[in-house]
Amino acid sequence: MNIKHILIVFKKEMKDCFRDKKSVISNILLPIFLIPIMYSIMNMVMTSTTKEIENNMKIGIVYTQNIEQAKSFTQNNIVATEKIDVLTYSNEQDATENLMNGNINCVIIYPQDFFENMQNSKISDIKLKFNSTKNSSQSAIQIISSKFAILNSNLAAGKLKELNIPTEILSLITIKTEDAHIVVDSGENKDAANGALIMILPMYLGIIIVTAGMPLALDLFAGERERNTFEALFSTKAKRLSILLGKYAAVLVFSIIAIFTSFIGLILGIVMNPEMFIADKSETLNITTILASLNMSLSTLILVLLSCITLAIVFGGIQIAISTYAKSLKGAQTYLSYITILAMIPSFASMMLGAGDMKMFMSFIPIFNTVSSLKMTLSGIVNNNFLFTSIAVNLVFSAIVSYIVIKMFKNEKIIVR
Amino acid sequence: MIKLVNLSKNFGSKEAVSNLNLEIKDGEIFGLLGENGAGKTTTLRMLATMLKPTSGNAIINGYDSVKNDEKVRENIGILFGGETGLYDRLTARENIEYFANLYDMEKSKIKKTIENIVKIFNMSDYIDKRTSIFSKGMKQKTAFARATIHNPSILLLDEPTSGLDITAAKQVHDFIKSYKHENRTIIFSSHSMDEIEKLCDRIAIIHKGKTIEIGTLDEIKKKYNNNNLSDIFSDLISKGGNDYEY
Ligand SMILES: Nc1ncnc2c1ncn2[C@@H]1O[C@H](COP(=O)(O)OP(=O)(O)OP(=O)(O)O)[C@@H](O)[C@H]1O
Ligand SMILES: [Mg+2]
Repeated sequence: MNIKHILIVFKKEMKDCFRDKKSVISNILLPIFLIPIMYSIMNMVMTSTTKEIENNMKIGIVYTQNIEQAKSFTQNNIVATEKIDVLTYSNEQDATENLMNGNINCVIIYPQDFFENMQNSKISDIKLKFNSTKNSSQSAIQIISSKFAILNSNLAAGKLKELNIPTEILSLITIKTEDAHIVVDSGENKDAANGALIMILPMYLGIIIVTAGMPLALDLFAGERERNTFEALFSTKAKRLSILLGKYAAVLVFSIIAIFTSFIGLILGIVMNPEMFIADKSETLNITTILASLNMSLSTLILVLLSCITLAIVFGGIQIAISTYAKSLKGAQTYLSYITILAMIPSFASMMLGAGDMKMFMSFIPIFNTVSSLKMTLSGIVNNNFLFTSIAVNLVFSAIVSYIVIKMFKNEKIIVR
Repeated sequence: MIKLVNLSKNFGSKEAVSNLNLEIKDGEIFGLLGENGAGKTTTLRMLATMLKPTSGNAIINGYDSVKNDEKVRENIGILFGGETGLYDRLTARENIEYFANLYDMEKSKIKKTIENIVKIFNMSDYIDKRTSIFSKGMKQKTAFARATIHNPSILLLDEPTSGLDITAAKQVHDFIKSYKHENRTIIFSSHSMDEIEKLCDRIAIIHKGKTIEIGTLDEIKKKYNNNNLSDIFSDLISKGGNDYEY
């Protein structure tokens, strides 16, 4: 091993790689633009459905008695100032048909004795009908239900007033939920608004870390063999180990750059389309809140980064081993694509679990442990044992992988297949 | 000087090279002649330290190819195969410099040597262009410059003209001849009798991993009383080759 030779190989490979415009564009630049564009398109499609329903909601009403009375009741109490068209049907079957055809978004079916019951303050059952296969119908039913809920409490309040009872009794108990773990040491509330961020970011990073080095691993090993340059390269004064380490370093640096740009792309995508990632309207999602949720102590940050880097080393090595082993560039490409699938399973698995659900034994599962470390830290849970174990596990795997790669590289089979 | 002592290489049960005994003197152009699968490439790969012999030794300038492989590599330059294997996103100069750096040459020395090469090989028009746009002949020149940048005393060439047209092949012949100065040794393998006759001082005819004849061209022609190397070669091969003892 010779540091100078390692550096020479590393520099040459970086130069070579950055001259490959196609690879630079598709692996490094594209994620910065593509991810935000993707999210924006998704967001556009989603909001256009909401807009459509907001501007053109059509509801059907069914009442067997005086349909005009039902219509004006609906318009006054439910529609009010909203832009909702009310269509009338004399029977439920007719209305259902129109609902299924998409002519209307939902149906309100008033019982025969509805108005009589209202008069006498008796309970009436109304039926709301919707089509679960249509998003527009699902939104409509939500809007209409909440309108009825408001109407309900208004009616009740009016009745209480009549009886001279304070309306507060309608809500004797008010509920305020508080998340216990969010309170950080300082006692100051950490901005934990980004539930979506915590869900998406670790999984996404896990997949990127595991796959980002692939294009370069492919070119530097299977590609080198395809070009017939291994022999000439090995015949120089440089030891094979130095050549291997120079190339390994190039794969790692390339993947770290790719991870970083994908990360930026993801954050941009989220910031540009915050409404896609927020369920609760009281939350805010912008660059400040995202940065706030990334805010952690320096030692935690270092541990998390170490976990990511050691994982990148393990998978850089695995990619190199595969790329060296494969008989051809095509073969290497095929084998490497399996890694992507392999990476997705533990990453998705950790997405399914809450940050508080992680058990210690999970820190022994590669990929999963790093993704979970990220998730826990982002949620404000600092579990040093988990972090240390994950790093140790990654280090053990990198040692094994490196040993195998060095063995393969020193074997004469690398030249004669 | 190169000395092969009972050099053998098996791939599994297949004997690719068996008991090769050869001595090649400094300043010689030595030809390895043999049909496909005779064991030429395998022999050259063992000399280049790319393959370890199953048994026997290859001694290059006094260094053993297994024990002192690094020393051996400093003494040799290799150019294997018709496909020259350049990095095509790098320029010719960068390709050559990369190898020069790995041979620990000094910057100023590299610069001077490349200047010299550019002059000799007439490469000034394209030395700073990327090799992806090169013709086969231009690539071959660059590869040759790369293989010899550290001025090795021994050059190993495996079918350096395969796939080249007559002009490009002639160019390679010229390199080989020009490289012979200063007592440098060249070993090269070929299928082409023509090429062998034109360039070689001495040759070994290899068949199924064994040397079946060795000597200067004149010696061999005299021995078989035939002036046509091709005929001698075909005769020897068809007889299956009686084991030649060095
Ligand atoms: N890696 C390998 N594994 C198994 N057998 C091999 C390997 N490399 C070479 N051989 C066998 O060894 C024998 C010698 O091969 P070699 O490549 O040295 O021949 P050659 O003289 O260079 O032939 P050619 O003129 O076709 O290049 C052949 O029979 C070949 O099939
Ligand atoms: Mg050959």
